[in-house]
Amino acid sequence: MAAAWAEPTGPAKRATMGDAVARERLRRLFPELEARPHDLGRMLGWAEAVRLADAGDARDDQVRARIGLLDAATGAGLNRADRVLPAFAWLLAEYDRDPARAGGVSAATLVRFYPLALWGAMMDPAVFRGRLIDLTNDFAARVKLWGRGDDDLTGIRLLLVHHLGRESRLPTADRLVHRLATAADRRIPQLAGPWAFRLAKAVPVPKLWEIPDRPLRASAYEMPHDVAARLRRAVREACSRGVGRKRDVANTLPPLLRRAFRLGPHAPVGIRLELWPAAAAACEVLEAADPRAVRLRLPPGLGAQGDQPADFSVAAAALSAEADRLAAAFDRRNGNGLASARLRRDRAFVLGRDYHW
Amino acid sequence: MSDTAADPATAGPASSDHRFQVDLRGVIELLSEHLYSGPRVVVRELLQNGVDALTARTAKDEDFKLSDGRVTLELLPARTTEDGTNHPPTLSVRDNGVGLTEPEVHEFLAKIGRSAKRGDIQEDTFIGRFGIGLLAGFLVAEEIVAITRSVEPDARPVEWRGRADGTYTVRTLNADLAPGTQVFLRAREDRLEHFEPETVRERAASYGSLLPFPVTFKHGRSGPDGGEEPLNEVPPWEQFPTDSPADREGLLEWAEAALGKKFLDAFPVTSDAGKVRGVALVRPESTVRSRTGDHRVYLKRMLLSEKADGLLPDWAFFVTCVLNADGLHPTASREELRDDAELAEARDELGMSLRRTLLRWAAKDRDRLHRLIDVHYRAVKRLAVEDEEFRKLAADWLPFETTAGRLRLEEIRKRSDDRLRFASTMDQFRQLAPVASAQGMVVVNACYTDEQELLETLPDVLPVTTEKVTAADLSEDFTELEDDAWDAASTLLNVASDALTPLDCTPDVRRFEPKTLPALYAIGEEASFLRDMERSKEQANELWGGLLNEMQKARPQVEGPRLCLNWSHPLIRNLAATAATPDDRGGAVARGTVRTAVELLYVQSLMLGHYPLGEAEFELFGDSLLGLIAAAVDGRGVGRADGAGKESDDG
Repeated sequence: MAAAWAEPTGPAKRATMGDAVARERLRRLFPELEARPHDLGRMLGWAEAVRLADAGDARDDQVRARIGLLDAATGAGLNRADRVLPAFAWLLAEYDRDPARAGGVSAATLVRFYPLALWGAMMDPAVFRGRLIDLTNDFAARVKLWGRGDDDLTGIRLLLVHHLGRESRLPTADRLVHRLATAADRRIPQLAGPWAFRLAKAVPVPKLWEIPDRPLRASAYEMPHDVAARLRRAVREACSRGVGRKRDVANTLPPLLRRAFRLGPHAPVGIRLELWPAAAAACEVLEAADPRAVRLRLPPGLGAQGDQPADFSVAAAALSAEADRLAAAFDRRNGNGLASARLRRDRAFVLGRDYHW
Repeated sequence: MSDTAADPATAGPASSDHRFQVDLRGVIELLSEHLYSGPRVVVRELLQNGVDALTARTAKDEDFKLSDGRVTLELLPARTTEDGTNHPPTLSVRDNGVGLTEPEVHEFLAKIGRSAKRGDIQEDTFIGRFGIGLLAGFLVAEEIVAITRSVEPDARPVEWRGRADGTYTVRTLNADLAPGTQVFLRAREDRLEHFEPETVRERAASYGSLLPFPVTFKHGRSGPDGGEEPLNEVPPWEQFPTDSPADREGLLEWAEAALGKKFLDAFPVTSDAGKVRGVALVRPESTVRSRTGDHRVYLKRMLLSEKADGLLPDWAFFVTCVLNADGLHPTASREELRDDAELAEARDELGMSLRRTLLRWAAKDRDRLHRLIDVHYRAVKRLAVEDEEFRKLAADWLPFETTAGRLRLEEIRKRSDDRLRFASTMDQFRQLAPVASAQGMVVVNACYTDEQELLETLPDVLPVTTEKVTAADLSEDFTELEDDAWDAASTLLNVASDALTPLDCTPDVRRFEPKTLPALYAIGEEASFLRDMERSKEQANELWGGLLNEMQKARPQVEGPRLCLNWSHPLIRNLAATAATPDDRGGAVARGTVRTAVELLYVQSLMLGHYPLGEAEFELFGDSLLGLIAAAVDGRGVGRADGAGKESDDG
């Protein structure tokens, strides 16, 4: 679908007494948020700023708040598609309505965030396959219209193929990673999401982590895929030492699981598909070690029963079932069996191979 | 076939080798504009050459120890000779180090990038490593003269005269000089300010005062010891090596004199990695987390930077350190530490050193820890998140912003029976604060990541439970009405439902504190998010609107916002009575008035809860207010139409 440009519409704005209050709060909030390190709190702060800006109804504030939200929701490995997509859709519509008066939304901003938004859409199986293809075509049309080169499209096309392509013709994950690592487009590793952190050292790309011009000070505690990788590592280490080292297991796994349970429900569905199998494996290890020695409250629905010790085998089964359900949802949307195949591979290698998808 | 055509590598025109040409002026400009922070570094570079020459001599001369070394800076004032020639001021730096032979002069002084410090002893032993130090002299002088005599037996003194245009001359002197090197910089006309005695002295003291051999400054010809002023001082970590009260007092006095600032506390820190030793000074004021450090760092006892970064873990932003590192490496500009594996290891060890001190205070010196926490609780919370042992020892003393004001955790635990409730965003905290306060409930504002993470990890180390709450959660716990009150409120609920349904809001009637609050707007996080998404959908084009729709449908169904009317408030009971007015006594009109009042209560509760008001809410507010005024003017005010709304306190 080609980009559609609408005529400027909407009722004329009349000032209300709430505008001044909202704008005054924003004047204090913006610099505070910009100074905060990249983490979940920063993102929630920007979401609050968007609400305030909408109440104030000043276009500049609304745009600034949403760009801040996009930056916060994509910038530190949070990959919060649920926050990115509505904010980006609003900005794009604002630009389309009147590119010359878009309150600070520029084509460069849109080119920067469009692929990230698209990647977020791919990571949500609720978004239809046809929609993803239409969005990619829309992006391609805009890239051409804005006079940009094919480089802007490379990463997103690779990922589209990776998700929706036919199984038999898909490049293996390793080959794709290699292509990403050698690509000229410096944003590709960001698009790769889970790969990005492994690639950070390998990709000879300047300013990889500077978005847009300042180094990110992200807290590793806030990155769900990082938590998944650390869980896998911890499970492998626990097993390689023998689950008999009960004390170590009781110390190392619960903090990671706690983070997984805190971040998982808010993470993109695709990231949850990484997180839950890793968490399930961790729960199995805890069950095999000594569950009574573990200080960890499981979230509701994972076998938690009041003050009783956690039943980690029930939790592991529930997490595995949820991962199966998510993989099936992806397969239905993508029209292939890749997600399930990857999940099987993840499980097979969870104790022996660190694998991101 | 021709023989010459076979190998393309040898085909074509004859090649010839050439050397790169170096434009010395360009290099100097590069140094001054891009590598160094400014001409201030000239004194440092000259001192550094002296230090390295002394280090090299210890390797060649077994009887020579570093403490036998000596570096003297001398400033010769401007003068006019008898023939009328003006001689600008000249800076001389003399050392009794290894010196150079004539071949070494050609090799090392005249080849940029070739350091004389490679070869005999391990490279890491030297400070300078790039062979560009002497070039820094051209930042302030047109000509550099070095007179040097090697420590090699029978070596003769050599004079090297280098000029900024890239030329130099060398001659052998027939003088009997002791081993060592003396460098002369004659001031450039436009750089005279760098030859002021106080300027040179201050720079020499700043860079070289901690060096492990005498560093002296001489200006003029008179004064004790021939006018030589010793610049050395004992490093603070050697003067005050322990964490005893006496050393702490001494260190704080030293810091105030040396850094011009009063600190809250002070203690020594060490790290085997990077061979770091120094002192940590606790800042007197609260600071925000930042990567920008302001640590004074010496490398092999020579000042590297007064604003060094990356030396401490992220959480340790409450201290300023003065440190010496013998095992870390500088960048080429020698104004920063190189961010390498050694620095990372040293950073971890210094973090452990700080942590050990805080743990000791937690166990034995709680007053000190309390003082630190009072000012730097954010940093301490970060440490508590990362370190379970510290969390266990110190968590109870950490302060939190709560609905009952700022309280330490131990107080929060007492007031809430170890059931810790927290709001995860500032928005949520603002919305639930008045209700929670009125009910005597303590809710922590955990809008900063560290705080939420800390609270969630407390059950690991303390007998507490934690739960995240929202205004909507609190409203679920409000008291249900008894049957008769429920009956009395039923018509009001119907009217409210009609008024609020277009606003996607559901009415409810409960009893809750504070009694003075007639209504509370409560919305959960997910419902709030869905409202945000709805606004984006309205604006988005068809393609993106469809995508948002697909996402929205897949999300779990949640309860929407609720307007909770407070049966404990007389106005609500009045409204219920008015709404119940029979039709034959003007009930329809009364219910119209009640509807208007509910709409106003809705807007008011949004405002009280700090929720942003949209266009629709403001229109509703304006219309309702006008309607209510009209009703009052018509004499059918709420609760007065037929006396049915007479206030009563029994509900």
